[in-house]
Amino acid sequence: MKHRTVLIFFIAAFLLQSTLVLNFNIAGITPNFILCMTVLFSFLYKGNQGLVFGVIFGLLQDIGFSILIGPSAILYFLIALLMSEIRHYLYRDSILNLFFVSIMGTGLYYVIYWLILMIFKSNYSFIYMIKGLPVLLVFNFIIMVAFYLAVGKRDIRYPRDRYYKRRRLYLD
Amino acid sequence: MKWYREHFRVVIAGIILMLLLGLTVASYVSRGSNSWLGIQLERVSVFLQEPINDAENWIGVTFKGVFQFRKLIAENETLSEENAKLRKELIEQSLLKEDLADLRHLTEAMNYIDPTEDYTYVTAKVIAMDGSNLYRIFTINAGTEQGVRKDSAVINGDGLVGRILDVGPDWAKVISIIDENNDVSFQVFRDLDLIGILSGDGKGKIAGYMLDESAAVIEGDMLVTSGMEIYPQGIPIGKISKITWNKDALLHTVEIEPSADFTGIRKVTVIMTGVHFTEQLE
Repeated sequence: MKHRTVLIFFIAAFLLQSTLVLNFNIAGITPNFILCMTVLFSFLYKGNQGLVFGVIFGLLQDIGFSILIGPSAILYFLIALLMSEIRHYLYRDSILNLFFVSIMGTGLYYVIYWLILMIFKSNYSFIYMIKGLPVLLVFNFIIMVAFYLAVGKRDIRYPRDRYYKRRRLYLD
Repeated sequence: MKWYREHFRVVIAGIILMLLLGLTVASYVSRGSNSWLGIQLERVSVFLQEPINDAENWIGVTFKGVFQFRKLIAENETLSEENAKLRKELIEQSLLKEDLADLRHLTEAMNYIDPTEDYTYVTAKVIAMDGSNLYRIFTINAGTEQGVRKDSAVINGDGLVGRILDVGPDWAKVISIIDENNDVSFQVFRDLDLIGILSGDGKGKIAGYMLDESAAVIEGDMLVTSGMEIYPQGIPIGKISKITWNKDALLHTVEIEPSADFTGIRKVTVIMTGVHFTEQLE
């Protein structure tokens, strides 16, 4: 996908993420759009767009809404790396696989974020964080499926194409 | 050198990761203060967030009106009853107005300076909030141009919301009281001699303890700020929801249900002392 198109998606994700919670939320919980975009662009598409824009918008998110600047960017970076590795092993045209990567991305993001907060002497409760996770997982999955059906599916022309390179299976 | 060339991607990833970790540590050391670049980026995002927030709010209000008209009618009736009750109270209060005027004359005669008269208030709109659901940090559309300063107290109609964490020319970042690790001193409204300390408990509520081991607090007691730190005296914080006796510390620990609903904040008021405002104008 073109860089400017990805940029527009990430800008929209950032603006929606920061304003939607004020108007439409369930118990103060809204989807993490930037996380969804990072996972989607790293899992569905070749290249480093998910990684680069994930880090940039992660930093922007931290500057705007966090006491610490960096944790979101680090996590989007690590999740993007993980997803770009996973895409070699999973079909991208399966909703079930999308469900798997959305759970993995969301779970990792919040658990590791909690760990980073603990390192920096926060008193954020793990149980409190876990309580909100099921709603978040559902939200993020819905966003990812909606994006896949509306945009992702159209862009991947031959999703079942595969080939081997250095004994690794590539599904591009 | 050969290894670095062969593992170029790994090396780049390692460098980026180290840089981001360094940034995190640096931001921890200088908590809450943004660099020049951070302030400019925040300014641009506020410029974009405000109209989007307005549009979403308009959509939300329209849908609410269409689908929840029965609820709105019931709410209207409740408000009418409350209005009638408040009018009655207003009449009673106006009877005390003359007494108050006499007391004011007395304070002027005694040259008494009331610290509460030195406050300046700025009302601002909440335009963005953390959507990652980890914090309740939000951005308001008032900044240094309106006289807002770092650490100014932020309230809404329900009570204490938090304080200003960072401020730019036309925006300010507010950290809510539930995210606050710093201690805040409080008084029990029923008996202002009962004093305690509270902070965010990391579970979306507030927890604290009473300074006096024999403090006779009860569940449901309203707590207000004591005025000992940055928060002016008398701002409602919340109600005590649970009291436990800590055997080890020999103190009453209290769990507090905050007065403010942090998920639905639309407007807030920033309280600045006169000193702050004068400094800003200079």
